[in-house]
Amino acid sequence: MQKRKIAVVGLGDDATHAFQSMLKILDGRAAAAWELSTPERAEVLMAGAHSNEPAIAHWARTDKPMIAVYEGGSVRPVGTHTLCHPFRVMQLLGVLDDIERALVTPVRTAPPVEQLHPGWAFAESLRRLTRCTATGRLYASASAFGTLFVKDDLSAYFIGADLWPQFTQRHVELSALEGTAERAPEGHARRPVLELAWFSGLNGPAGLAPWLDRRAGHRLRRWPDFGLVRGTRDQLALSAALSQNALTLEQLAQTTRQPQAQVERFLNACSMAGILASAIDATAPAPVAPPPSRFGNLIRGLRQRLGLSE
Amino acid sequence: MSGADSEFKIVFTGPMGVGKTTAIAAISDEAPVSTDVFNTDREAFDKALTTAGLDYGHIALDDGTAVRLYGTPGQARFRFMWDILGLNAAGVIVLIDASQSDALVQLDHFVDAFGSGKRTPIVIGVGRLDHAGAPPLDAFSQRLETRGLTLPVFGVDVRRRPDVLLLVDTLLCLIETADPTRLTA
Repeated sequence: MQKRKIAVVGLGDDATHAFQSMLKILDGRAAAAWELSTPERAEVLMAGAHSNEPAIAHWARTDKPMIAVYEGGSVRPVGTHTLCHPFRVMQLLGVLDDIERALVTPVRTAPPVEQLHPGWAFAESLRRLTRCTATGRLYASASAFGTLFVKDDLSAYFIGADLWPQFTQRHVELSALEGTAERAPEGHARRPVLELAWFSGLNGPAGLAPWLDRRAGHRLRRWPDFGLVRGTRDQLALSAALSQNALTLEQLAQTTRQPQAQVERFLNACSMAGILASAIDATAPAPVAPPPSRFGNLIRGLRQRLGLSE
Repeated sequence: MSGADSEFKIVFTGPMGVGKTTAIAAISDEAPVSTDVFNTDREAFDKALTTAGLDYGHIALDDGTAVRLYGTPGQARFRFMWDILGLNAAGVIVLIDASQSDALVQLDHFVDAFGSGKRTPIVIGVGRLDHAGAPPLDAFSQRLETRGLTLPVFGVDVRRRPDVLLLVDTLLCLIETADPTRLTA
């Protein structure tokens, strides 16, 4: 069994003790043998999402896996691996096994910022920010339609009335987020960062995001909040497919009969929203496209009656 | 298709006072037929009438078939009705009121009662998220994720027809994706 090292920083005493006890319980049950380590030697960091530990800032500049632990009642960090404190041993097991799958067959990581397509600069800077610790700073990004501001605890972002419709409907060139001493103007609307993350992926440049791997199988950890981001029918269908199976980009396009370019945008959005689990599993059987539903005509008729036909 | 095969039934379920009747009324061709009785449990929920048997609505389609919409009674003492109404349902919409103190427990309760999405596709709508002290939507998603369930959970206001349509459309996508032999098994 593969041995892995994990470090813990920025958690309260109770959470740290609970975690240490859980690691003992998981001994022999997890996909890897996990042992406690220092951040310098660890392959995985478990960190308090809103703590102010220098080790987290350092870790954020790497592509190593991080488990962000947040308190119940606060906003979930927009990261890939999260745990809500207090968490249960089975939740920890699920996250650690997910990470182990990703470590065994590493999926692609983003190239250095300076090598990225400029259109991804904003999304990549937001991804980095989700891995940082909150210090109460405000970050800003400029565009031709105005400047938006993001709180570094990711509890909200602030956007003007000119920029919001542009940003949520099409690609807008936004500069990488940078710390600012400015305050968000009074007229800017306060909105959830999840929305910012979703649309920066959905409306980013064409193609799969630089940190996603074309070979990887993807599945949803949870559904996108379509109550917030108002998805299309195609996005509902993609979510339904990924909530039941892990699928590669090609398989997903084939199963849902949607253009690859559209599927790529959806995967980018899910990845930015932190709800996508990706791993390369050469042993996974290729899914078979389901035969047409026997309720096909009835469902079409119902959609037509309800005005849901697109 | 004939008999049970041709019946297309959507069930709306959830605790008392969550808006099941309102949700059905938002999409039914006619006002839902309700079997309301006087609410004798005003301490638990302060409304004059509550559904004791079922709510029923329907949507007639152009080809002469109809989609049947059933609302279950919310109170646990009418639990036997959930099994009856859930039988051979194409899908279930679970409505939860985030302002109720046991909303997360109710989520488990109703999701489990209808097979946790394994037998029948389930979509969850959570209302009154802006109520002081209500858990955030994330807490409901997290609750399901903990149990290994990837079910759609959306913040909704069932008085708004587009929100009800979002739940229905999502359910239809899940039904289309689900194993087509499920209902005849």
